[in-house]
Amino acid sequence: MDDQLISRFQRGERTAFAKLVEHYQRPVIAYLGRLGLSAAEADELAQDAFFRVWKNAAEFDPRRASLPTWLFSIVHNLAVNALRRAHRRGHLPLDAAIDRADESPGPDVMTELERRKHILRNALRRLPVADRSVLALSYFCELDHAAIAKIEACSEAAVKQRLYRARLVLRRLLESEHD
Amino acid sequence: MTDSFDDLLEQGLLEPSTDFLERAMSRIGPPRTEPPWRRWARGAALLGGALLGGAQLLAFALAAWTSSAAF
Repeated sequence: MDDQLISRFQRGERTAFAKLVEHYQRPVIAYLGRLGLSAAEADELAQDAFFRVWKNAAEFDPRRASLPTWLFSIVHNLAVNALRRAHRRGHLPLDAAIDRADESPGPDVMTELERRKHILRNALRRLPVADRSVLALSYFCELDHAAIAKIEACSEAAVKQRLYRARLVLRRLLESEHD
Repeated sequence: MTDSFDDLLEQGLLEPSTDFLERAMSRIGPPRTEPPWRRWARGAALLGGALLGGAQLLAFALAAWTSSAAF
C-alpha cells in the first residue's frame, strides 16, 4: 500500500479504508486460520481487528512500524486474547485444542482436501500458541523476521528459534498422522 | 513438513467470506457527509471574521496615527 493511500486512510477516508480491507482481508483470515481458529471465529476476529484499525487510525505512526506490522499486531493481540479466554473457559485448550465436532464433517464425507486441512488444523492446534503464531505470520510475504519480532514482542533470534521449533514439531506431527 | 501440507499452510486454510468487505464497511458507519449549506455557512463565518479582524486592525492603526498626529 502506498503512503498516499495510508495518509488518506488516516484522514478517515472510507475509500482508502476499503482498499486496506480489500488488500489485507485474505492474509489476516489466512493467519487466523493457521492459528487453528474456525472460519466463524476467524471472521469475527478479523472484523473486530479491522474495526479497531479504523478507530485507531490516528495512532498509526509509519516511523515506528509499517502498516502490516501495526495491523498484524492488532490481529495478533485479539487472537491471543481470544485463545486465552477460550482456554480459561475450558472451551478450547490453549496449546492443544480439540476440533469442534459441529464444525467439521465426519471423515467419511470429507473430500481429500478437507481431510488434509482437518489433519493440518489439528496438528497446528497442538503447537504452543507462541510457536504457532510465528509460523502463521511467516507465510505472509510482507512481514520479515524483524516485523514478526515486533508483533510478537520478542527478539529476531527468538522468532527464528520458534519458527524452527514449530516447523520441526509440525513435521513430526504430520508424519505421525501418515504412519 | 510434506510439500502438500506446506502448500495448504501457504494458502492459509481459510478464505474470507464474499461479503467480508461489505460488513467491515457497514461496521464503521455511514460516510461523514455534511450538507452543502454548512460548507457555505463555514465559508461565510470565515470571511466575516476576516473582515471584522481587518477592520479592527485598520481602526487601531487609524487611532494610533490620529493620536500621534494630534501631538
